Amino acid sequence: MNNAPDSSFNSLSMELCWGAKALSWDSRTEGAIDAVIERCRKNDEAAFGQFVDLFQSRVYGFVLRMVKNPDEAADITQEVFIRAYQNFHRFDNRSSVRTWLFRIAHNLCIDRARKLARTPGMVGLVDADDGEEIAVPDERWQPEQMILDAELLGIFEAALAAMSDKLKTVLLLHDREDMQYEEIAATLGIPVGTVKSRLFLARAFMQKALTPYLGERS
Amino acid sequence: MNQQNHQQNNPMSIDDKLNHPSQAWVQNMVNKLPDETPSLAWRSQLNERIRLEAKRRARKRFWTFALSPAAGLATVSALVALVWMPRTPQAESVATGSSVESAIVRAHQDEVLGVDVAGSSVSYTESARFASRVELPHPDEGSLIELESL
Repeated sequence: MNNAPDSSFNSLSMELCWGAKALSWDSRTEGAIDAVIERCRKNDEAAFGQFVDLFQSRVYGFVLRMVKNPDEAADITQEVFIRAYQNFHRFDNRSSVRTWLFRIAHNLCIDRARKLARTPGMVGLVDADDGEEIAVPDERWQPEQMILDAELLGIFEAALAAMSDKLKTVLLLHDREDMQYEEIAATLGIPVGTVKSRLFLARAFMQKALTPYLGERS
Repeated sequence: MNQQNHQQNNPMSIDDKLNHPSQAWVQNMVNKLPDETPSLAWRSQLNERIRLEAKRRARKRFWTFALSPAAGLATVSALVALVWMPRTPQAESVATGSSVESAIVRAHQDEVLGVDVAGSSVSYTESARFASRVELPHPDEGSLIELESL
């Protein structure tokens, strides 16, 4: 029984269909970023421009999926970088710059949501913080053949938009930004166990949202 | 039913749940979501805001540098002025009146003036005579040269 995703469902196909650009976070990237950060801390404007180049897509993508409105997302993303510029001299390397930057982004998204008094999106599954245990998802759930097209992407993004901010934040930071559990916990100020629970719930939510669509396609 | 019983007897840890293949599929999908790049107009606007912020910061640094020694100097000058400034007498207004108090004050001033001019052995009448004849520019500025000119 093949529980792994279908072999024809490979990353190259996905990249061609979705236009995704993988950003691998390796030691070489870290070293280059460290040099830029050091210059940014000395108020080097050109270095800050490079810093924005490195992170603008990631931050904008994260913010856009959190607030859903492109204009709002653009404003918030600008505010993220302005605050980073104003406070770079205070960045002390206790956490990674990525953690620091996404913490600013997350806080601004939360502030904006509070200001708009937005009602949370459909949760679907109960947060484990409330004490309710969530059942293990169906082990037989395995998409056999996927047509990777704009329609699936649309459905996926819609399901993501319907998720609560708490779950969505963890899902994006872990599965999209490749952050470790400890890094996410530091970014959001929550325990590692809560990060794992929310990640599990978020993925289960996506499975539940996509199952009707996948059932029709198969 | 057997699966449920199995799950109840062997509860999975959260890490096991996260490593489940069904979870891995979602993880893979999320990881490959397309990048969302902001527009060039957005980037121009951000560059402009950063430029303005840099100018504001440079101005703030300049004024902090310029004003800090000036502020220090002003504070020290004010303290010195408070401590060392000569105090002007305020009894002269009393001396111009016609009451008993003004007469007493005038007599005292005359005596002081006489002593300043002629010395401590001068009597009151002599000092008054000197005071009426001599017009010194300042009661405190006695001058033997002017006295000799009388």
